[in-house]
Amino acid sequence: MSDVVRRVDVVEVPAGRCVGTLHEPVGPRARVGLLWVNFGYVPRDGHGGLAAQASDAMARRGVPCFRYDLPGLGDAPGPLPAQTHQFFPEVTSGRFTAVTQQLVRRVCEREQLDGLVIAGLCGGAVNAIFTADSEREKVRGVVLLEPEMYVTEPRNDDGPAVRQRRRDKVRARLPKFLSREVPFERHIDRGVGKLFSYWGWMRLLTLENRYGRFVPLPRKKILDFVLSRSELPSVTNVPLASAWTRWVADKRPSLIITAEAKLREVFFDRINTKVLAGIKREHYVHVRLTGTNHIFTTGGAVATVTSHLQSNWHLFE
Amino acid sequence: MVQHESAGPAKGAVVLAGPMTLERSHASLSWVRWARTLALNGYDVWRFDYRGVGESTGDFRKQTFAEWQDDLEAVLRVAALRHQGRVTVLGLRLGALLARTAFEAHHADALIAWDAPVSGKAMLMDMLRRKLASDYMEFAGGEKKTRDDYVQELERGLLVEVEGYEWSRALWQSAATYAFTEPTRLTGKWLAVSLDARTPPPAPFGATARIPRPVFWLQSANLVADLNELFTLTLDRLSLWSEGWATVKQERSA
Repeated sequence: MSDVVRRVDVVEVPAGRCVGTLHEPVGPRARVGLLWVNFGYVPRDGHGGLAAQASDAMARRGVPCFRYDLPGLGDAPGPLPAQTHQFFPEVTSGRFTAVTQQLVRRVCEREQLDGLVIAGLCGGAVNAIFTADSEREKVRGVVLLEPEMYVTEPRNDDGPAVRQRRRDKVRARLPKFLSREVPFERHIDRGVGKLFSYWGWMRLLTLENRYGRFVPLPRKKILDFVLSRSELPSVTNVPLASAWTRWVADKRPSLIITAEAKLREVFFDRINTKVLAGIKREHYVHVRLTGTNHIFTTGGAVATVTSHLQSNWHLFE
Repeated sequence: MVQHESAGPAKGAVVLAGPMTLERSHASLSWVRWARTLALNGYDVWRFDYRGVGESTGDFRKQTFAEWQDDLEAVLRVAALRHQGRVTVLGLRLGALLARTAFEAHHADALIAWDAPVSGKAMLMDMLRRKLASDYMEFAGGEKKTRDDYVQELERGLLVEVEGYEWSRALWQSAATYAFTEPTRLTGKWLAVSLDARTPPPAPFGATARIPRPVFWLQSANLVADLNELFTLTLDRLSLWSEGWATVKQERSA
């Protein structure tokens, strides 16, 4: 049995009902707690149970830890868009900021805490930044795992049926002898579409595409060329980058953990180069993990992240 | 453990036995929606996490199918306190294997299995295949391993990380005793729903339902997947069984 007691918790705030788990601290209780928010659409324990494991570990050090499902996710009731590609644009534009801010205040008040550190992965990190920027008094720090600093990759709505209609339209204008379907036409069409896809190339260069390993490219050089260091990438989530800049400029504590050379880290670094230029990064630690994936389910990342959280907690004390 | 109380007088109880690890994470939204749907249709519903997974405490490395079987049976006992003789166990993936064993051991009065794996080992091998795909992406220059390599490591007592969880030899070996064969209990109240191309058992014990691809426990492309066909089919069968239970109850009270 675990030595840390977990308690189910329901918090009603004006923006909705949050259903969560409180990890009771062992020994003397710290005045600052740790709050985990959903990793994207994933339930509150996180991929591989990361949030739950890390909360147990921090509770053993006396830090009260909280993990909540925000409205619509996990156990918490609420509306959700039907598909993931509709959900992420909402997250990156701050869908959960208001509810998380209300949650932070309510939990601090009820638990008599001075403040909370907000932690999350991917969309959760986005939520952490927005909330931290809007709730300076109670948010004492952020733990950002794989923060997604760009606007969500737009879905290509040109599905097979749309592309077929487009081809038919072109064909109707051609002389009859040219209007027959070319062998492998669909495959060629799809391949050409991928060849000119910005995100397709980004995934290939950051090895997030299964074929990336076979491409003998000087990835670093191409990335340097594609993402100019002097300009903000065109896909930057500008409101998020602004909130992040304000947070760092104010010397508020931040622990960032990214998967080395992966898509989120590449953009995080490039955007930081521009927006944090000239800003002294104090109380700021960036850890890069090798041999893991975006959701930290390989390479022993669950334990590694927990260990970094423990060893860097002094940032928030 | 979470209980969803029925809207109005309950027709019976349904205990949901879910999938494990990352399959649990992906299935979560649909699983909760299904629990709420059942409650709206007049059933008291219990769902829970196995030890070491999700909201339940415990070290995953110490868990086996037998521990999780105990967890399921403990929840079934709670449900039976309120609904003696009217408890259905409904399992998905791992849950289907555990549910079948619980049903055979008379811990439940009816069984519904959604996408039951052929066996525990086959299910774990499926997960190891996904691990290989993940290795392939992440460790471009590293040593290439096969599923057999991982199986050997498990057999030797090493821990193997799969989708963020560390599997132990005990977990691996415990899967060997689980297979989804047709239950031998003669109540007739069981249904295996095939959600892939596999042929289900003959009617009335087997059925097929179409669900969107990729399936909801492997990916979350559809946050609100259209599972109407599956939900309707299952509710129809539950309704049929609960009519029988209502008759028995009336006879008893008479």
